[in-house]
Order: sequence, then C-alpha cells, then structure tokens
Amino acid sequence: MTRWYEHRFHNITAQRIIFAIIPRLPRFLHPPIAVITALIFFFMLTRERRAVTGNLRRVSGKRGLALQSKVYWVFYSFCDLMVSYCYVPQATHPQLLSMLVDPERGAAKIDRCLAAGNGLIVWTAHVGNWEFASRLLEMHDRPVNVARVVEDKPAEITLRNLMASERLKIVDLKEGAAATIELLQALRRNEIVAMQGDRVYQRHSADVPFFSQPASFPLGPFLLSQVSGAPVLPGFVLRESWLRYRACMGDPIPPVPAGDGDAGLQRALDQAVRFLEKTLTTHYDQWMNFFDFWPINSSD
Amino acid sequence: MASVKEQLKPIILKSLRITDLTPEDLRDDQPLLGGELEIDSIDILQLVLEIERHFGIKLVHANFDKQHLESINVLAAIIESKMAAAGN
Repeated sequence: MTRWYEHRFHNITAQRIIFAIIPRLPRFLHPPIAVITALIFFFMLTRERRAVTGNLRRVSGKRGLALQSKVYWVFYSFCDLMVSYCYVPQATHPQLLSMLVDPERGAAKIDRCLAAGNGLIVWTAHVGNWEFASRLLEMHDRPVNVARVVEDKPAEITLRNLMASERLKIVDLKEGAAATIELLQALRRNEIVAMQGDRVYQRHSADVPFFSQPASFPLGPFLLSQVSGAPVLPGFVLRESWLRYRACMGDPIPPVPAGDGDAGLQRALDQAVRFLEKTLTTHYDQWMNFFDFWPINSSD
Repeated sequence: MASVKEQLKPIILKSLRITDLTPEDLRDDQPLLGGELEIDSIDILQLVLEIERHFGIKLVHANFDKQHLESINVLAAIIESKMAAAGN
C-alpha cells in the first residue's frame, strides 16, 4: 500500500483529451491553456493542494500568498509534464536536444561512469520532467532500463507504453525479485538503469535529514549499486520555460563497499538526498509529490 | 568441506535476516520465491551479494532467471556449475 494517491483526473479520458487536442493547437496557445488548467486543478484538488502546501512550506519557508503562488506553479509544472507526453516519446534526438536551453547535459560525466563497464544507476526524483530525462539517457548508445511501479490502471499503462521503445525499457518493480534480477543483469551488460528515489515502494528504506526533518527514502538503488558495482549518479531535468528544459547532474556516488552494511548505504543515500535538497532549494515549484512528504511531523 | 547446499543455507538465513530458524530447518526443496521465505526485490540483492562474495562467482548473468530460485536444490546446482566454470 502506498501512502500517496493519484488525483481523480489521472485517468484515460483526461489523457485522451490531452493527446487529441494539444498536438492540434498552435504551440503559442499551450502556455495560456496550461495557466487556466493549472488554476482549475489548483482549486479543485484540495487534498493535493493542501499536501503540496505543507511540503513547500517546509522546503521554502514561505507563507501566505507567496507560498500559494508557488503551490500553483507545481500544478502548472504538472501540466507541462502531461503535455510533454505529446512530444517527448516520439521526438528524435536532435528534437530532444533542441528542447534543452543549455546543450550541457552531463554527457561526459555519464560516459566516464559507463567507461568502468559496470553500468550506471541514474537516481532521479519527481522533479521537472523525468520522462525527458530518460530519453536523454538513450543517447549513450545502450539500452536504458527505467525502473518504476506501474499501477494496474489504464492511465498508468498508457504512459508506460508511450515511453517504452527499442532503447527504453520499463521494468515494473511490482514484479519483485524478477525485476531486481532484470536490473542487475542490465547493469552487468553495462546498461543504464534509471530510478526515482523520492518515493518508498519497499520496506527497505532509511530516514535521512531532508530540509531539517527526517524523511524516508529507498535504499534499493544503493544496494543495487553495491551488488553490481555501478555508480549512482543523481540527476534531474528541470523545466526552464514551457517545454524547455535543462539537465542538472550531481557527482557520481561510488558503490558502497560490501562490508560497510546499512550505515554505508545510508551515507550514500544521504549524498543523493543532499543533491535533491540543493536542487529543490531553487526549483521546489517543480517537485511533484502530491502527498504529505513528512507525515510524522506534518503538524509542526 | 561442507557441500554447497550446506554452505548456502546459513547464507540464506543471514541475507534475509531470519533469526528464528536454523539451517537445519530449511528443506532442500524449500522454494525461495513465493514460499515461506518470501524473498522480495531487496532480499534478492542481499542474497546475491552474500552468495557472490562467499563463493567468489558472478551468480547473476544473462542466463540467470527466476526459475533458478525455485528451490535451494536448484540454486545450489547453479552455484556449483558457476564455480566449476570459474575453476573454483
């Protein structure tokens, strides 16, 4: 059972409307439509708005209208993400690169990590546009294995199928041990594995300080790194303007030595979380977690 | 020298952090997936790590699949074949 939930508009009908209408409209109309759509969702999705408000209050320290305007931008960022599904899955590599405001995308860093031959785990989060990030990773001439939990819902399955391609493989974490074996085999073929590290799907997690309060993050990526020898590279694709992005990479985190136990894994996790924290300090209005991230301390 | 199966059973218990069973409690035909042990996606990593470290082999490669975790017997046979291939 997950402690987050999906809003009621995350369904196949809403997706069909987006995919049918948006590509037929001139692009200059997209941002004003997103402004209005985000406003509607901001007022209708009260439970999600409350959760995002709590999260952003802790992250930004803002209050009142200044805080609410940032909460609104989270909904706007989500509109950008949904519309990007009309363009990102089928875009050619030059088209993807043209959507970057800065050609620097950390390619050299990724290639250096892959040169060791143990594969690479890219640790990302629900920030900016993670689907765009996975397509950028395809440019390294090897398969990209995106590990995610695909809920058994038509809307989720549609998105999974949209993003899957010859180069981009979705590994459903609901498959349990079989999914883990698949990821480990991929790393041993020197492939890339992309994982979102800011939601706990498994019992194996650790609490680390996150904006001055402990929060749970999964240890799985770091254990996979320990077994495979693959480094973990924290990285995000941030939205700079409508359907325009910038890649942002941290420093590679080497595999934790086998004898270091959970303490070593936790230190590695902490390094990745520090990078997420640093990124969110300036881009918290692109952090799309519509549930209370600090449930135990939500009252303070 | 203990057999691979005898060496494997304490490794399974250690990896899964099971403290209320002894190696003797584990049957040779004990299923590793879907049975009482209920190995999940994280347990399998800990188990692979311990097996590879203990036996000095790379257990998970292209030809490894979840059928190899059908029972302790099957897993031990795979380890033996990998050890033989590696000349251990």
